[in-house]
Amino acid sequence: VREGDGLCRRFDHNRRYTHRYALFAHALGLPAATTNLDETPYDDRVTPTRASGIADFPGGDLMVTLGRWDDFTATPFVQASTLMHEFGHTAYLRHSGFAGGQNCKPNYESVMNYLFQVRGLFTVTGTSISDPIVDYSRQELPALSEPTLDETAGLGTMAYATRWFAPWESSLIDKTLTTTPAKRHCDGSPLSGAELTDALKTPPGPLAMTRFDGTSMTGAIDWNADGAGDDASVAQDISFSGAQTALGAGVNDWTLLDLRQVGGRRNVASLNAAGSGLFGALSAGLDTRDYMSVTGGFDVDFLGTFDVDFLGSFDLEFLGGFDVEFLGGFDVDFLGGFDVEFLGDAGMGENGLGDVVPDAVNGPHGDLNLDTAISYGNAPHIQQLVWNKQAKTTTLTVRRPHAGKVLSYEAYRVEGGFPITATALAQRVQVGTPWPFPQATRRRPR
Amino acid sequence: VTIVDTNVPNNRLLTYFVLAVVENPNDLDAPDAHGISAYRVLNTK
Repeated sequence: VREGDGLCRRFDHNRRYTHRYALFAHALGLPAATTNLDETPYDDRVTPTRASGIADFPGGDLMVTLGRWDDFTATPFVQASTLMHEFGHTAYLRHSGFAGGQNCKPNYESVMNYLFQVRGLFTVTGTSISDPIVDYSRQELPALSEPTLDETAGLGTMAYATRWFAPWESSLIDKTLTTTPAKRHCDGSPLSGAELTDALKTPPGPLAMTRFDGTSMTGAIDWNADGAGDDASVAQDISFSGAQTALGAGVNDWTLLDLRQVGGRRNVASLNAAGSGLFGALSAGLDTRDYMSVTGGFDVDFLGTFDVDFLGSFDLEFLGGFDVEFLGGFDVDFLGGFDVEFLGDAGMGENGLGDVVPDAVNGPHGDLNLDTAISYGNAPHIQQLVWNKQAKTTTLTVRRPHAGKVLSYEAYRVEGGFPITATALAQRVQVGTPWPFPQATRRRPR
Repeated sequence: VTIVDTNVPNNRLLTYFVLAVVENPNDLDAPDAHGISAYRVLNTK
């Protein structure tokens, strides 16, 4: 907000290059999203959306927009995880850990990964599973090849139990309990026509996928969720992108966090242009045109020193608004050609490589909105389990899922530890009374 | 939410898990049952 507009200035200019700003707003309004197609039952083509947030990449500004989530606020856990996720974008973290990588890699255990943003991360100690945790990744887990997954190789010793997608019809527990397959890809993009058909069938078809949680931080990984981690070669889209690909190694976020964001907002050195990322602008933006044309507003306040030496050509073309305010020294030496072209109101951080806008650097992706979260990332959590030997009772304290309106819970008891065997599942006992609506019945999706 | 199992056998290793049935915002007549909780193991020995 500018002074003089009748509004009070809330953000001092002298903090703009040293502070990040997080705006918790009701909803994120966006123009037509290219990832939403007519065949999906979800439609976010109109504003406001249910996107969880967006951030500069990198930069100083982020928004958390959970007003269209449950209770108009989402749960405190999702608020925390989304804030950390969007902050990560401003500090140069991506959904995959590296440029061009894929979202939802099981070997990237980070809140930046959609697999873990809403559902959280879990540690496993023996047979004890932690409450969900929000964290950036802490290690470089090995690369994976989706066409040739070796269950026995696992991922080594992990900081957290991982998570992945498995075919619904090979997942022992999902098939037994007749759960609902995912209705969006993990990155939020819509399913293909064939995938959607299989997901909505009764029973679901071979292309239907379901999210699966690991129960160990070491050893073999049961990628196909058939109850045994013993298959030497499994071909499976564990990241549920719609294709089986090579998944690069994970990264350690904590070693990659780049807290520098000076220049993250609009300024003369932001080296960017609308429609292209930082690297695109550098590689394609050189221009030898020899004119200067200012067709839009141009407002420069120099409150400090400003020293520019042009030893070569310098070409500026402003077709939109451009606002520069230097409160300190600024020194630019151009020893060669240099071209800055602002075709709109764009700065380094303002192309928004956050969670909504597809981009060349971060790879194509959808967005993590409420529908995506309900579609696959949703689960209740047993916070506490108290056994009363004399009364022969066990009391489960269950916390609601982080997305979606709960109609009913189904609690089960099986004999033995995990992994749960087919025999144990077949002999499962449903316990307690469905809550809060005993009359609520579950039907297969159409 | 509290759910009580009233007939717990002794001397067993037991695993509990919970499934949530949630409203499908795009079809209220077809709830979704996507999420299975993390497992909780109980030793009643």
